[in-house]
Amino acid sequence: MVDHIGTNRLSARDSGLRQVGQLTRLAAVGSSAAVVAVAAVLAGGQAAAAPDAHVAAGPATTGTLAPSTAPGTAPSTRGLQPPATAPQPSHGRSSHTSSGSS
Amino acid sequence: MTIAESRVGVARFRAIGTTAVVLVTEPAAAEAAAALLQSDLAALDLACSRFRPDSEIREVELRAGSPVQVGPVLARVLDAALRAAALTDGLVDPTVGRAMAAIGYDRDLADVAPDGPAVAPEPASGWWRITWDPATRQVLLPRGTALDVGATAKALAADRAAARIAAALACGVLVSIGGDLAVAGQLPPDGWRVLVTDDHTDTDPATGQGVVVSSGGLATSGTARRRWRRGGRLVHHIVDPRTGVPATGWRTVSVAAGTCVDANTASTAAVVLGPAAPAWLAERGLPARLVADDGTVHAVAGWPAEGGGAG
Repeated sequence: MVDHIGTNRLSARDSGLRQVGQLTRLAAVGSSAAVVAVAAVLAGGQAAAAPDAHVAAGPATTGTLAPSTAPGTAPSTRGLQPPATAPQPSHGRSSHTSSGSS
Repeated sequence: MTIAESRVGVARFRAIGTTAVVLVTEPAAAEAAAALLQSDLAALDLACSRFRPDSEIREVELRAGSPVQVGPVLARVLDAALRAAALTDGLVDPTVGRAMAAIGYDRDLADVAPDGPAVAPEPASGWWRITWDPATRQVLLPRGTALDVGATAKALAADRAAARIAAALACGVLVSIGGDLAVAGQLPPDGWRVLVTDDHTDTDPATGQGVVVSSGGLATSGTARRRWRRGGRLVHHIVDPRTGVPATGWRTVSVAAGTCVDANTASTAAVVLGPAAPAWLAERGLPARLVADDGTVHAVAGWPAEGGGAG
């Protein structure tokens, strides 16, 4: 089921996110400017506007990360899947279990 | 009235800091189902617990700044957590670990001091700064990042365990982890009946609403549990990633979706969104029940009204 979540149900933007991730990993190796530019295109132009496109580098990387989106500015995606059937009233019958805060 | 367990098998046990429940349409299969769920949760705890010094996620944090290849369990959770962040524009953000620690939730809840001095909220460091390559399962965290993937991880575990148990034991299954549940396989004759309430340990029907779930998942996020005080003010475990401040406005939000992960993503986002949540859920066609801090109940997108009709 989770593999299904991870593949078939991906929105176009999800796919873009993955591509950005793959591309930004390449950016850690080299030619980061070009890769960041591509990432910005994939992310709908948001990457260049992100508030913090660069982070402190670790010992094994040059550390340029391209944000996939800027918070609050990305276009809304609607990839959350509604249920096949909405919950129905139980008409007072006893419950099998409970759903609440944990 | 009590929780009905006739005609289905049930097993309950404590795991990953909460209650795990597995219900099966073949009562004789309950023990085997519980064993499968327990093994899944043990692997999940080792991969994702932010309170275990030997967990894989702690190791990834210690190696922040360098690419790290993670195991398949953590990979699935990271994938789901980043997807949740993308689909909610960061309302659900796995980088809230430091934000949670800043308000005092930096250890098992049982060990969190019930009261303490005022705290300074800390926004999430930002999910978009994580580099993630699902093909190679390599993740690169910015230095200083602390992850909290607990809610997504539990929901994902419910989805996976329900599917795995249904396939392995050829029966209908409901898996609930801390009240977030997934169903798979055949249904009981009149569906899985679930009491939707503030606290997942409640069984009194007067405390909530009974519904029948026949597919996907159902999750409830809320502020009724995991609460403590800092500086004389009540704080809880659902923070707005943008500010690090505990969200206000909704006591609980319950959402039905195609999977438990999607239900949990939406219910958590709705708590963070506050007044805009009903419209946000309705736009996405996600049936939901929202209980405001003052007890007012809102039903959206086909969630049944308290009296029995559709909301």
